[in-house]
Amino acid sequence: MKRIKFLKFLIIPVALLLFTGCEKDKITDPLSVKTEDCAKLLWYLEDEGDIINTIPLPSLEAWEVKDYLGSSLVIDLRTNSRFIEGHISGAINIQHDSLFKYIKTNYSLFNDVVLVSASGQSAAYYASLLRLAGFPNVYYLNFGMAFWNSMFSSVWTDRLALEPDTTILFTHTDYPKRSYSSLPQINIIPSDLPMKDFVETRIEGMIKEGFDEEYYSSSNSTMRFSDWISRKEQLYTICIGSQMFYSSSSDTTITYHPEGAVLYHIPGPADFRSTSYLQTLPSESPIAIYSGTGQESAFYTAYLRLLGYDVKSILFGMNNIDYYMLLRADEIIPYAFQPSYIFDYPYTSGTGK
Amino acid sequence: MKKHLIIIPFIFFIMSCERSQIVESDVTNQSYIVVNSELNPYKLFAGVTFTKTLPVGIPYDIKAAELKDVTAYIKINGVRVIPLHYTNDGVYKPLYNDLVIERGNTYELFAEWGETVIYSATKVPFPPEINNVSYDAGGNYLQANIKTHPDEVYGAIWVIGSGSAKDETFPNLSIPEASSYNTNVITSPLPEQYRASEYNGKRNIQVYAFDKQYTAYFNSAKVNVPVGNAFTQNGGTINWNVFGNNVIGMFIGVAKGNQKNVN
Repeated sequence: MKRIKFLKFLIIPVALLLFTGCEKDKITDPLSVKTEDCAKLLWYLEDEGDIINTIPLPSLEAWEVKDYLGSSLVIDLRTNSRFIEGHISGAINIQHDSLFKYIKTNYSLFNDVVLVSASGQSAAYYASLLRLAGFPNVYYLNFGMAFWNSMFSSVWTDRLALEPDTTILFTHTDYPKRSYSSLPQINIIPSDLPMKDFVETRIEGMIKEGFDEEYYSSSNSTMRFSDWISRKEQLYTICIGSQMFYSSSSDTTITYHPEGAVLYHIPGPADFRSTSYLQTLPSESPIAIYSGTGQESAFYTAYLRLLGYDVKSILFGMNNIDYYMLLRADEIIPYAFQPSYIFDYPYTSGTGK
Repeated sequence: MKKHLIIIPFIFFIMSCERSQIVESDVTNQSYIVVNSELNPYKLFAGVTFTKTLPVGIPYDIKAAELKDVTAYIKINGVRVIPLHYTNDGVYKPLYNDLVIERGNTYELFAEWGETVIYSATKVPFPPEINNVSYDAGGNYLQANIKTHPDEVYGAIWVIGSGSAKDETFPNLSIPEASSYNTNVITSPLPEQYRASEYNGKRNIQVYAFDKQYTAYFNSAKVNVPVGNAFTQNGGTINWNVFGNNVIGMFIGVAKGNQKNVN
């Protein structure tokens, strides 16, 4: 019995030493935290140049396209039947669902790529996405084929709101931005997929999904103003542009905005920067953006949808909300579609090349 | 038989100690990622530095030590994401370098370097508000009574004139009771030469407020006798507040108060 006691007395302390004496010093605790895909996506887009917040809109006037036709690839994104009716000489007809693949294959063969659509809005949307995908020399034709020749201008002239909807309250009130909220959740699958590949795949999908600049119905990325009127209570509506475009402070009779719309400055000290107001956009509720022509809002809608926001661009912008407001101040007149500015350049009928 | 039973545990014991020696040897050559950032209220965010330790015997060179390919961002109050991008010398900043740090906010650091995930969090303290100051002639130290805020600790240094001489370290940290609104914080004793009457009116106290996480670092670094720079300390385990495998460093909120004259 004594022997057993003696052995217990000896073995237990030694065993304790054995199990406790060899722990390594812990420099830091083991990590259970994971980085978030949405944050890494934002990081990547900034690291690639943050083109949305740093460059002016990559639009070209019709005269610029005409002058540089020789060295540029002009891609007409309209339907084949409209292309046959008339197109810019030398342009090729590509549908949006094959646009990304075509650009990826042929981008290096040309100095610049000019996207042409009927109104300019879908071309602005695709130009934004292609630039985000790493094709920096992609531009869009301002006001689309409508500014090239009056033959194609009805897409705009039919949408000018010469008599604004009287049920809408226009105001000069500055509506505040919302509080900061989380970025939209993004899940990258598989988790080890390089961000570059993820972005490329996502952009290709978005381009294939399309941007319907026709006015027949709202779509994933577009909204008719008439639909906005019926849904405005559920939407976070933002106006992008300058203060003058939103509401002139000196003379409040000149410019104004629909009730509830919140101003985000674009361009200049862009409000979509991570360090400014990007995350005041709600990630859990739909957003409607309007601008002067709808082209600007299309351009930014592309970026915000890439980040995962549920954003729709209000088609034709202020031209389709209150056309005459755009004509009241020099600073914003360029946003008005003015038939007198149509270039009436020649066009080619038939299938082209 | 009894002899054998006694010997076996001793063999285990001795073998286990041998293994411990090998671990120590490995640690000596282990390369660490070093993270360093101070967040000061009302100041532009100065960024986060990511470097790695160099092998023993290699002279320190920032170009060799800096990490250029870290994916990093900070998150403010659990919501706002601010990506950080490489600038130079291992320093990562927001793209537009226009982020002003706000007191009371919590900042989290997330980063990836290769397979290593790095994380830290800190709450930025309020700039210290001094109620009154005094000179303890007996202990030859300066003292300030200050307003306190939750999750903050305080340290103080003496400063002569406009800074011609000043203390380098705090003697200790003042850790207020959770329920208190005020606390006292003291400096190290003044060196002999600054106790003379000719320095009356030139003795100042400067109070620093820290995120309370600083306490663990301060106490461990103090025990291990840092030699000026915390990242070249003499040895022993420092309690860093940056986490990750083989990651050390501090990501800490610090508020530096104004100098207050002590007659």
